[in-house]
Amino acid sequence: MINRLLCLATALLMSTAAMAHTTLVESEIKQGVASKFTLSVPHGCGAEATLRLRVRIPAGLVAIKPQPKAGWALDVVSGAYETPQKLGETTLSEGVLELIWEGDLPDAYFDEFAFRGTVTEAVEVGSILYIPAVQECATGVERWIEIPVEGHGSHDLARPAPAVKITPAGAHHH
Amino acid sequence: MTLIARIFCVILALCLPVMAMAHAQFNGSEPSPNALVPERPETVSLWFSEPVSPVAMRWISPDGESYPAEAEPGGKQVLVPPPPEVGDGSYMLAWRVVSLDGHPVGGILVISVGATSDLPTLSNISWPPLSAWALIAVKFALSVCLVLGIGGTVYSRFVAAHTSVDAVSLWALYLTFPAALFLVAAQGLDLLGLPLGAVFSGAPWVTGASTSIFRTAVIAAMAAVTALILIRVTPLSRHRVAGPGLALMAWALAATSYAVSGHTATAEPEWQAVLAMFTHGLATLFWLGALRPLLGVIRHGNDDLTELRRFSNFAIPLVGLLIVTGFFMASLHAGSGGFQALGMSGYGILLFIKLVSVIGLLLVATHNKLVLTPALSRGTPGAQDALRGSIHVEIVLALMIVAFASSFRLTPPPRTASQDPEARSVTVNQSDITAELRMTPGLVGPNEITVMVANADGSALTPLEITLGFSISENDIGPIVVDAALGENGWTTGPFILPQPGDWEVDLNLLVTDFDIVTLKTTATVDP
Repeated sequence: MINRLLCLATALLMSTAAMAHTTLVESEIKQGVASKFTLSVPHGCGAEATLRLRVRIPAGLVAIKPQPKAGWALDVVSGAYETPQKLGETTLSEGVLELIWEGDLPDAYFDEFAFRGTVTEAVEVGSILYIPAVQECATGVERWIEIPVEGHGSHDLARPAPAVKITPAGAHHH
Repeated sequence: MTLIARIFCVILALCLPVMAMAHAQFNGSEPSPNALVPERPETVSLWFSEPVSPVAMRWISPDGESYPAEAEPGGKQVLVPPPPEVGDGSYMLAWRVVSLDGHPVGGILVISVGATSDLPTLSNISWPPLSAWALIAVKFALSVCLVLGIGGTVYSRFVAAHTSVDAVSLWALYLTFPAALFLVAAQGLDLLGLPLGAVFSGAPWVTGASTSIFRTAVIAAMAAVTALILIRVTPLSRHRVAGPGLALMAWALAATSYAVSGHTATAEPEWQAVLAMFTHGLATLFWLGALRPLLGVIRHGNDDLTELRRFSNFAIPLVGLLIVTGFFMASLHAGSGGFQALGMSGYGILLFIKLVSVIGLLLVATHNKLVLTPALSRGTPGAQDALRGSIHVEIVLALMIVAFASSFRLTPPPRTASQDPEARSVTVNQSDITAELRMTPGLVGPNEITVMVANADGSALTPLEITLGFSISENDIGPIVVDAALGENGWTTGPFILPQPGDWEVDLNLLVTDFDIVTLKTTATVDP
């Protein structure tokens, strides 16, 4: 049994080591429930330190509240939505469009950047929500913005956008 | 845990990270791509996603000179000797490696020493590697075989009115087969940019056989077979009946072999170009093929000039056809720029040298016809030696002409290099975006690409970045990834090498905003 677990762990470790993408820590988010989204940044641009992390809030994700980080300046870009968003009975015409953290994260370290938000009914249960993020360094840029075409997974992409699966509000997980 | 489970575990662990990289990909270099370094690096390392062997490496200095480099394999790392010491500026390394699965991958690395400079433009990158010279040599050998063998057969049948050819013509017919065979391999070597030693591997043969040169080789061999059937197989008693037909067939086949490949086969309008080349070939084979047998006729103690007269009767109209078709083909290849465009291109210079040789040959031939032949028939002393000497000059000029004609591979005609929007551009309409890719020259080797993008409704679209990925997934080649930069002429890539002819899948990645990337997919045809 332990051997079997070791085997699986080795396999998984090797696969994650090969990826090292900027991803969302959460794998599933409930629709209609205020939830925490955590972006994990595992490395810089090549060997360069990350100086800025920009996160674009996609349509269907509202009521955004970023978590401030010590040593990082936080900038929240708000504006009118392209199409009004509905959260329960309320119609929202404007809100947060982009979050920007500015600081210094050497390539040797990793860090996490979090915000709260609610997924509206515009995003279907069972679908994948993509939250594109851009890492900016002194000269280089890493854009985690690629969205797979229908029927293909993110694993084919060089720089996939962080993604999360949307589950029903009442769903429980074990 | 059973042994099988253990093995499965190892395989699983090994497979997971490997799946993402099924073929060798360029992973970076030291100095890094586009780096500006203060001094000439002692060595340049290229890193790949899997072990590779270097195939061809060339440095292109800021002045556009090309220097072959001998790279050292080291698994996933390839060590390349430093760029030549030509001074400060931007150097290009055109690299090509082959991964373990035998698929070549190529690209361009730019490193600037001391200062950046404009990258050498396409026109001054010299791209005839050793394999191109081999191809020229084999083409020359095949042409000489056809002229001596088929031309000799045609002469013996129609001018000398007998069917025996001498040993030289017979040997030329036999040698046509190996020449045709190696033509296929030489073409493959040239296309893949492989060193000459790779002739012992399968790749150049397969690649060569997939191109139009294969038809040339097969038809040339068929011509030799036909001539040999006439000379060696057909009983003498039947020569009177079967002779003219077989000789004509061999002649036509040999002329066809010139018309089915090369620049001619891709010129428009196709049937005119093919017909012109066929006629050109018929006339060349006759005229040049007759020179050597004529030497045998004009000798001491032979006062019978019937053969010489008969040759003249044939030669005059055929030489006329040769000149007319030659000019016609030159005008086709000149493209929209006219003959002026020819004059400035490498192709034009080669054509000019060939024309000078042809004019020389015509002058000598005219002198033979108008001065030396009448002198010979009057029995003027020394006329025989003068005519023999003059025919020797003709033979030397003829060899030069065949050599120049075989060298056209070195330089594409301006027609192919001209910016013909129909022939060399690809338009894509996807995701409400219209994009046009213009490839210059759209041939194997260095290419530059200009990208024009607009919204489908015609409004302007200014992406932040444009990246192109070229691959032939069928052959696991690529993606060769190049960035386009916005300059005076719109979005253009620097010169980069497309190492193989065929239909390339092109991914056009447009970074529309910082967060939105749009990928348009299309295919682009690259000609040999």
